[in-house]
Amino acid sequence: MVEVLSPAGNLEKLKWALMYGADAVYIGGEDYSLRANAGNFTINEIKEAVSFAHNLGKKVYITTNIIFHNEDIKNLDDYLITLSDIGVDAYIVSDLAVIKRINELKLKPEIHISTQESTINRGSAEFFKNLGASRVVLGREASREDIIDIKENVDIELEVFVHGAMCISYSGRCVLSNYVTKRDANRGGCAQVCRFNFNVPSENISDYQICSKDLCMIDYVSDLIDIGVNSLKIEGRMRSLYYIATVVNSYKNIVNKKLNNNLTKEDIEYYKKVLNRLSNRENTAIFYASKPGASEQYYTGRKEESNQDFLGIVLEYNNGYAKVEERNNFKIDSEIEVFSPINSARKFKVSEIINENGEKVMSAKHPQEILKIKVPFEVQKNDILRVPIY
Amino acid sequence: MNKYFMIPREKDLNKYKENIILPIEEFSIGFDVYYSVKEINKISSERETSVIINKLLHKKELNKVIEVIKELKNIKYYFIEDLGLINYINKENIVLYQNHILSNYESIRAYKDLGIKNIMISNELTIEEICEIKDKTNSNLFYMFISRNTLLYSNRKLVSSYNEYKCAFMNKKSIIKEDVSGKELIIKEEGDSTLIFDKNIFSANEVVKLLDNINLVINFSNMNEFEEDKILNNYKKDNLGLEIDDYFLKNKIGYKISDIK
Repeated sequence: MVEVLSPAGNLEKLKWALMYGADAVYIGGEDYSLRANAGNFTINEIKEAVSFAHNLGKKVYITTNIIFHNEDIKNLDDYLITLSDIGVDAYIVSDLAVIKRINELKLKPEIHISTQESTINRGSAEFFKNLGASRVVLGREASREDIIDIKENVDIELEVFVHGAMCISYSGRCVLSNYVTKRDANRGGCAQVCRFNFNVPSENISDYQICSKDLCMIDYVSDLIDIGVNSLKIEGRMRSLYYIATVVNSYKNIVNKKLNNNLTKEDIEYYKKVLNRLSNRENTAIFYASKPGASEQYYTGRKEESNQDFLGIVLEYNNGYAKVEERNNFKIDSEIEVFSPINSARKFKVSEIINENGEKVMSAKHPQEILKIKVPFEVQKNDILRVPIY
Repeated sequence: MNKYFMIPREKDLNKYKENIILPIEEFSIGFDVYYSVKEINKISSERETSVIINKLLHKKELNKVIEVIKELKNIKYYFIEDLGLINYINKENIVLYQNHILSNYESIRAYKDLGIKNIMISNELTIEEICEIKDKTNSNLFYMFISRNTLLYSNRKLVSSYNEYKCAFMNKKSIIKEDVSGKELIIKEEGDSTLIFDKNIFSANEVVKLLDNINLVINFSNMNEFEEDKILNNYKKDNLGLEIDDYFLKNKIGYKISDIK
């Protein structure tokens, strides 16, 4: 079985990720995680997350993948033991100090080697296997050829990034943030200087950029499964609930169709459209099939407008009416698509909207308002309403 | 007593009195000069010589460099970035040089347990952190003592791609300036990769007395002749005679939410 692995920046996102098809989630604690600005989990929240996931037969991995400085070592043992006692399924680590402590303390959770180590060849995969790692998260620079070589030569699980933002550098090999903004990139403070604008004074260039497009491997999911990759990883612990649900659902559907031998080109094209609508940067496959060039760089600036596609969440369904929590505006005659953890996406035209006061209204324009709308087919609690994808 | 190693700027090696570290063709990156196996073997037969292999290695490169290592003779140390090489080189001869990564005493101890006792520590450490590492480990430590530090290593052509997209003619080695901070950096594209260096020269001369028993590496790459001469004349003194930036030696930087906000 191949795993769809989702990020979760907080407990709510974790629940939605698992509900929408993730087989496992990765989360960060309040210390030692590379997203200092994500809504990282307290110990009690980690307990709840693990309990929630395990009740669904799913897994929770915890990032402890900063590059440790001396001062970070002090409370490490207590933290690792606490996580083990809670029952997290794996530590995602990059620093050998952490691997050493996990091994010496004989802790139960598996060791997954973070992409921060930029593992792209069989030699380094073998090195980590010998240290007790059960999995490596490959460097995003690993090509198809590299992945096959590692798979064929090293008995270790492989996790591959399939979707989300890209570092412009080999992971861990960038301290631009440290030098330009005095924020430590390898301890969770990355300021994403690679997305800043630069001048080249000698050439009178004022718009030099080194920003990468985002990654989208939807064309290659089938191939990755055939190669024997064990986990398909989605980036984005700071992304929204809607983003997480949509991306997880798209990849999970592709995986299920592949495993059921009914994946079609039309399916891939459809989910590509779904994913493209979400992104605020263009996305493409990068490194897997060829070395990146200008087409994989992003020179046109970030779209800062917020995505308005997320229209609402279904709370319940009775007698042809869905009770929904509105997120973005829609109106009578709007076409809406419902996507859900269980069913394929279905569309309908809005014919009736009833507001909180029981009045029929022409439009829904108050986000968070609880409305009733007429839906011509049965929908489930936690189904998501969105702008249709064509 | 410190031992000094030098990464030369040019092939006139007579200038460099101390032990030298030679970048090797195809497998080193970010330097001004590269040496063939034949050249290295000739030099290593005459003086103490080490080699730096600081590329991260894809399948084909790994296969090739394994063969190249077999051809190299009399090499004191191999400074390596990619952990994939560990099983192909005698551990006594490895200096693990994972740029920015080796930042605490516990991971250095962990490598020692694995037989790797020669460790290049990170350049983003304060002098207090370096001293603590020194006190709490018994590994053979190396430190990039004077250099234009590498800040980014990318497996992309970041200059050519820009030129292609914008129909521009930016030089593959250029100075770039970040808009807001005004921070100047050197960008250098080599082959399929690009590196960014600090334009400021880093030097730890001021605290050299605290670095006793650490092997000090001086990297002359990306230096001009004037800077090279100054360094060659003054590297054992407290003051290099050049404008330097040793911010990270003296300042802890933030990363947690509470530190940053």
